[in-house]
Amino acid sequence: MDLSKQCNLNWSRIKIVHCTKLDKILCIQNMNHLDSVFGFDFLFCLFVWVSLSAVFVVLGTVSMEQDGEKSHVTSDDTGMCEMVLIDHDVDLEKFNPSSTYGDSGSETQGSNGETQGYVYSQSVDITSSWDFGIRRRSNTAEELSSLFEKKNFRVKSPCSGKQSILSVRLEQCPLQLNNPFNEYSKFDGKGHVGTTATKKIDVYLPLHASQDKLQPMTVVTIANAKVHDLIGLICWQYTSEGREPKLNDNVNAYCLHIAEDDGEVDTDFPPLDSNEPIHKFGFSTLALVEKYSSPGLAAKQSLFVRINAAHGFSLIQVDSMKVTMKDILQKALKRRKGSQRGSGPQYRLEKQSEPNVPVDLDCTLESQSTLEFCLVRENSSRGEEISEEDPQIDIATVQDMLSSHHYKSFKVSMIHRLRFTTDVQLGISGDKVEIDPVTNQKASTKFWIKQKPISIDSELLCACDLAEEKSPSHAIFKLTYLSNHDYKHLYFESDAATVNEIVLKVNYILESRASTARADYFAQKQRKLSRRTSFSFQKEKKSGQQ
Amino acid sequence: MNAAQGTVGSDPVILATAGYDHTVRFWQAHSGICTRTVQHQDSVSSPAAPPGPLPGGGPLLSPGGAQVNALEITPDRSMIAAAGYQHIRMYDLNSNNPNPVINYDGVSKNITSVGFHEDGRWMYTGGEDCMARIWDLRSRNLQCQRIFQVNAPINCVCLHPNQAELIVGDQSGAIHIWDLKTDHNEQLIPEPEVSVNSVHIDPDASYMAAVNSSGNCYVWNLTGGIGEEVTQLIPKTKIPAHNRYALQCKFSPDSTLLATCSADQTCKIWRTSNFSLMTELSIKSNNPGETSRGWMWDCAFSGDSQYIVTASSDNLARLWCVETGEIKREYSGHQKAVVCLAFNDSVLG
Repeated sequence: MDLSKQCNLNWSRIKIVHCTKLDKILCIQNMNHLDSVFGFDFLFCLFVWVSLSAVFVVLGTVSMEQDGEKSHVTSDDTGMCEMVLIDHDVDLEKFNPSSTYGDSGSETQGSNGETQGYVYSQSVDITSSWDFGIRRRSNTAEELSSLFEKKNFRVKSPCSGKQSILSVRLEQCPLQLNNPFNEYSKFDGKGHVGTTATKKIDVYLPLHASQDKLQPMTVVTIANAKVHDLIGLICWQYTSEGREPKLNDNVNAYCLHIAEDDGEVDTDFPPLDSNEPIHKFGFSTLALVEKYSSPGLAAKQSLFVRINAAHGFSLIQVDSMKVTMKDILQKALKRRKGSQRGSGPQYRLEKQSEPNVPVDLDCTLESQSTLEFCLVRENSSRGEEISEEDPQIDIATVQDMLSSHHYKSFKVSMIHRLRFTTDVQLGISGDKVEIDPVTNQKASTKFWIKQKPISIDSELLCACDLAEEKSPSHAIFKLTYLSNHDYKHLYFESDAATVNEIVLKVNYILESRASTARADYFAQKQRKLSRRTSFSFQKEKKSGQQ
Repeated sequence: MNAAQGTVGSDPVILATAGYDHTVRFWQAHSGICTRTVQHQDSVSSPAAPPGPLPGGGPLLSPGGAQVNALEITPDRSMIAAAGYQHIRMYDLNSNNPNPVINYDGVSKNITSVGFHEDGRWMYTGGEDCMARIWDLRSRNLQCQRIFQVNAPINCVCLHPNQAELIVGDQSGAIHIWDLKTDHNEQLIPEPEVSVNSVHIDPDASYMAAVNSSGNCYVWNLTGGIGEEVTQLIPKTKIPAHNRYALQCKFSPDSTLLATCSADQTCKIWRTSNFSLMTELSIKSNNPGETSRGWMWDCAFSGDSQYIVTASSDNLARLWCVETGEIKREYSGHQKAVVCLAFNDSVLG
């Protein structure tokens, strides 16, 4: 390649290809000369550089030779990297630095003392910045040698089997909080500060007896999380922080309400819709609330034993399955008007399904595997004509039944979410149950529930159970009915006597109607129960989260 | 290094993971909590992204994929390098700066491997463009200083404990030993045409291990490598470690163990005394019908070799006890596969 031509083209020091070492030296010298001639005319340099680099990028070659006396500078297509193959034979004592060379002195002087000629590895330097002075590379061969000197790796501090800090910490913190809400941790915005839109929210948590003062928990969520995800994140953080008491594993058991700055839940608004993105809401203070936080007790199914007798049946309420059959018999007899202990004809109990087999009175109800029995007079069998000795017995039974179907209304309180109650009139008859709001409410600004009258056909009634009996003046019962393919639950409270009367009355109606809705409801409950016992709590990790 | 309170760099134990979901996540290793997330892709649409040029000058380009292929923490724990497609980005560990403080651009194709000289003077990388490069970290020069070119895309690069020899494994099955001082290089090919995926040398420089796509793990004894001596490799053994691709191999800090990770959902731990299997860490499902839960991509031992962290494509990283094979912690939060991790654990005393 014609050297002068090369120098003209190469004033910007883009590339030298396949020069001999001498050529290279001359090139450098010439280029410096050019540099001083042109001075620092910036724009001119820029223009020429751009056009030339375009040419050279097209012509770019990469080569690598390890042998021979050539020194090569190569560059790849981008022109951004270069490599110099160090040729140990370069003897720079032949090289006479000229005065235009600038500050070369310090870097060449060291060569004389070296045992091998060090390589002047400072080749053309391509930079993408607008730097047109000769940039002396800081790596001289001497420095390169030291940069890549083999270290004696055998001399090192012995690894004496000491513990690492991680091991120590793991010992101190033995349990990973096996957080059932781990899948929601990805919505935590704390680590994303500055990169993604996040939202900081103060969350008031379910208040418990031990806490006298409400303190909110601060949560940072990524802004495109949905309300459901935020609930999950809150539960995750709560659990991560080891707060007590433990939350329900199921995120769906909770909902978020808007709260005041002091933690008071604003019941004017319904809870935030689970599917809405959180950035839609401007609120920065929320409260985590359990859904259906009324009674909370899984309303136990009221236990009624059905005692069939001539022309009718009675319902005897019992407390548990452990009650003896003797108690049941006594209760059944007590229901009969005019029965006296020890006097009158003796009665026995039989299982409805096993006629003429008297039940062992010492056994528990549990052991009978049925809740339906027949009251039979001793020395007679079912269906026998009633003797005239006890004409009133059957009337009592029949009366019970009939009266249950008669309309009767009760003044009770209906319990809504968050334990908010409204006064209602509950009208129960054999045909239907009606719930009408009582209009004379005390003026209440929180009256956000426009209580509409509800009418439930008896065919749709499924269950009526005692939920809670705290005291003679306070008891709660739960009414379950079918509405549009869903089972709905309503909770009411009143004094114990009224509640028990209502529960009995409704159960009489249920028993006598034997509706399909009721049968289906119990079947479904049974299925749920059997499923729950076989449920494994070992959650499998999902791959491919959304 | 003066680390700001509460930053990743202020903790003597640093654990970072990355993969296909374009984030680098830092974890508190003993509790499993994610302490910091860095968006690896420059997200222009995000309102929180600061406007203007990044420190270091020049616009940041990240077209076509911001997956992270390799992570490495600098020996002085000041930065972490994330190698991806056509770039290596350095993030500051001593602050919460969400942007990379240095961005090395201008390389083509994926960078698959990154590492550092123990004094932090220079960084080495290997990539699909068939080149291993040396980058001077002391200068602000954003170009590499040296290149070593081979004939096939490079999967892995490893630095000999003597800090002067670089081992390069490529897709054609060749392992190159590049003497950085003399430029002398040697090749060895344990299994022709089978891609070498990972190479590692133990801290004592007694062994070198390499794993390939056949699932085999080759081990050599090492001699020499000090002063003027070139390192010699003497074949020691071949372990038929896995029946699917082997993706990573690592020696423990005390040199007594060798871990191999594979697409067969396991990470196996071998004793270097006799190369017998000590423990198998598996994420296989007990359900025979279930297909693969994910590949084990990467692993790293704790400072005292008692624990190991693995990264797998089921989006999780896990901490295992090496001896018992018990999972101690799970690091969950990534939305896609985790393919690389960096772990810097300090030893007491």
